[in-house]
Amino acid sequence: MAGVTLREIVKEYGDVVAVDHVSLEVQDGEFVALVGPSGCGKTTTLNLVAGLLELTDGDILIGDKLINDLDPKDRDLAMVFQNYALYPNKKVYDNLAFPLKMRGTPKGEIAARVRKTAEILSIEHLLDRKPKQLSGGQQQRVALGRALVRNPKAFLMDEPLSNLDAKLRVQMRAELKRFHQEIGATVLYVTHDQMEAVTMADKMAVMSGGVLQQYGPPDEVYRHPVNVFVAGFVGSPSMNLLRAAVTAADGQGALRGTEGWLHPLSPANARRAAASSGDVMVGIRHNQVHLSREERPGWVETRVYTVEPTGDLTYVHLRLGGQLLVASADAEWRAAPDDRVWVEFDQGSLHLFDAQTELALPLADAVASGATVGSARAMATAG
Amino acid sequence: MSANLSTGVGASGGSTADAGLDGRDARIAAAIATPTAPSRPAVRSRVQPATRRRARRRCRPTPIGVLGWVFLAVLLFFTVVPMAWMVSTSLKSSFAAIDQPPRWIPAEPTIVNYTKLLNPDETVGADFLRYMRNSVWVSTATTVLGLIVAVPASYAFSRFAFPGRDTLFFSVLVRNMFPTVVFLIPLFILMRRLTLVDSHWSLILTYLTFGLPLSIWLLKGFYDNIPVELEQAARIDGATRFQAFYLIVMPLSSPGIIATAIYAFIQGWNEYVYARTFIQSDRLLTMPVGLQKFFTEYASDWPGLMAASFIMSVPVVVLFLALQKYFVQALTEGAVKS
Ligand SMILES: Nc1ncnc2c1ncn2[C@@H]1O[C@H](COP(=O)(O)OP(=O)(O)OP(=O)(O)O)[C@@H](O)[C@H]1O
Ligand SMILES: [Mg+2]
Repeated sequence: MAGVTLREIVKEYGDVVAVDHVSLEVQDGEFVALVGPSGCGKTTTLNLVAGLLELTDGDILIGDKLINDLDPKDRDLAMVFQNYALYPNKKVYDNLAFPLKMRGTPKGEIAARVRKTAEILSIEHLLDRKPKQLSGGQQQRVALGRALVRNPKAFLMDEPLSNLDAKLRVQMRAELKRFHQEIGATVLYVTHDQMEAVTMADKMAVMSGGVLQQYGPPDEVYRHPVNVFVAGFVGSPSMNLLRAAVTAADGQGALRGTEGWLHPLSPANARRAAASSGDVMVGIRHNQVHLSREERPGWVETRVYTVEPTGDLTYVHLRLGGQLLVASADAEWRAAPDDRVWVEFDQGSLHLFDAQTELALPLADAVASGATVGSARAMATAG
Repeated sequence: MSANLSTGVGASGGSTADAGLDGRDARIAAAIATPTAPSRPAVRSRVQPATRRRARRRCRPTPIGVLGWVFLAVLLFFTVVPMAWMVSTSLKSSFAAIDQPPRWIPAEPTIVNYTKLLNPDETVGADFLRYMRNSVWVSTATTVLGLIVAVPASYAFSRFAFPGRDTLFFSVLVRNMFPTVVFLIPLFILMRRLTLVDSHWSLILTYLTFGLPLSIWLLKGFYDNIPVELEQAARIDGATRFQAFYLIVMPLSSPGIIATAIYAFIQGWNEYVYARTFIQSDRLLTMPVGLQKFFTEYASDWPGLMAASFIMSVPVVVLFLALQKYFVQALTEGAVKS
């Protein structure tokens, strides 16, 4: 195993810049999830690392070896494709044996390793079948097996679970994670599904429009999105994002939304908001919106749009001017459409972004950047 | 903080802790996770509506369906009757062949016409077998050479983006937009310059100019349908580009290659006009022209002619029957893009 380093990599297709100066360091043994909306360049990035595409610019290193011009076969990587890419005319056994055969492994050893891999993935009984005769989940295991059968420097996986049904996906997720922990594999993992990223990855890289937006542990990305895009992309339901002007009311900093609402700011948040060049974007997660059925000073009046009970908790969609706002409440919480509900945004976890640059406004000066996660947790428990 | 002081309805999302994860991680996980992404529809489903529609059509005949059947029946009549007549006549004696009224079933069937044709000690047999050998050689050479060019060419058209690719691809077909006779004189002059007139190579080269464009088209459709990820996977698994093609793509495209081969072979086997024009020596004649010679030399020997015609059609029919599975697969899979 070895780490993978991307340095300012660029891939252009004519005028389209599919990957735009992406730098990323995957440590040896780390599981990194690459997430982003469709067409943001995830597959392209992976294919660049695999050597299936030529770099327009930048460097790719495996371990500390520069591999820009190396043929895919010489990079010593294994890849799991989104559509599995099993060799349809070969039996499962030969699919698994192929990477070993190509590298001149002796026959006896091939047989032993194929058996062992098949055992790990519980596909021993399928070795004589053709890929067409397998279910989606079985094909997925074979695809995984073809990667695991060798001992490559790193694994590249392009949405390997996306074709599975929800239940199988959860099961395979657990198995992949266990596999990663057991062999300490370096994994670069592309996914649409944030749950996969959060549950499996050590680090999460969020891409948009070919640009790497943020790279860090999932909970850090979740708690401290660096810009409006990451804030809106990471988390489900999506973070509520409202545009507001910074004003003052009752001698206190406040936000005036474009929809006309007024919400006070704590002194710390007021200082942050003041740093903005103009309007701010307020980001607030569903579980940080407090609800009240009675009017309260400083709270914002909204109307109920729909109520979605999910079993564990209830999502409440609220109308605020022309905007929809989602909040979550207890499982038993119910209301009729158009009921009046007052909301307050939790000051401790308010996200503020400069509406112009869309970048996060730094937390109050007292809080050093290194301590951000701890302080957020402290605030939550202090309340 | 205000959250806990308020008597408003609590809005904490923290009640979702799973058993396996500690509370904080589970909360984040639950919050970050999107509802499961819509899974892509299985490829299988693509086929179903068509099948269902066909099934329905079978139950209730539509006017168009009936017309279709009538059309097919007429077509079948026109193809089968001459064949049947050919076989019937070939099994008769010369006298029986001109009996009036004609009989479908020979009164005294004989295979003497066949044994004569296939006996190298008889003049007719020697000629016939030589024509056959010539035809086999020309058709086989055309097929093999055609494939040697068409396979890599169509693969390149399918996989690589190079300047002028589309223009080149369409220009390949220009040759097939003109009636074949248009090229008869120019090609004859060309072959004379190349001193290839009255040689099998003049025919092989000419047949390649017909066959190659269509072979390339047919095969390209086939390669387009083989996911490029298969080759990519092979290359990551340690294959060179050529090995990926040779070990993975080639076997998958074998139905297409076989279909193309049948097509090219039949073209060469049946071609008459060029063979008639380019070949002058009797010892080089191919079967269609040789057969025509029989007409003039043995004009009254209808059963002999019919037997020769029948033998000539056998390889084509056998080839086609043996490999029709691939042919159909090639036409459907190659043509229908997913
Ligand atoms: N061969 C190509 N020629 C031109 N543009 C391309 C080519 N391949 C990809 N692109 C463009 O590059 C961008 C990134 O594509 P990529 O396949 O990496 O997206 P992705 O993040 O993997 O998306 P998805 O989640 O849908 O798989 C897209 O805008 C796409 O249109
Ligand atoms: Mg992709």
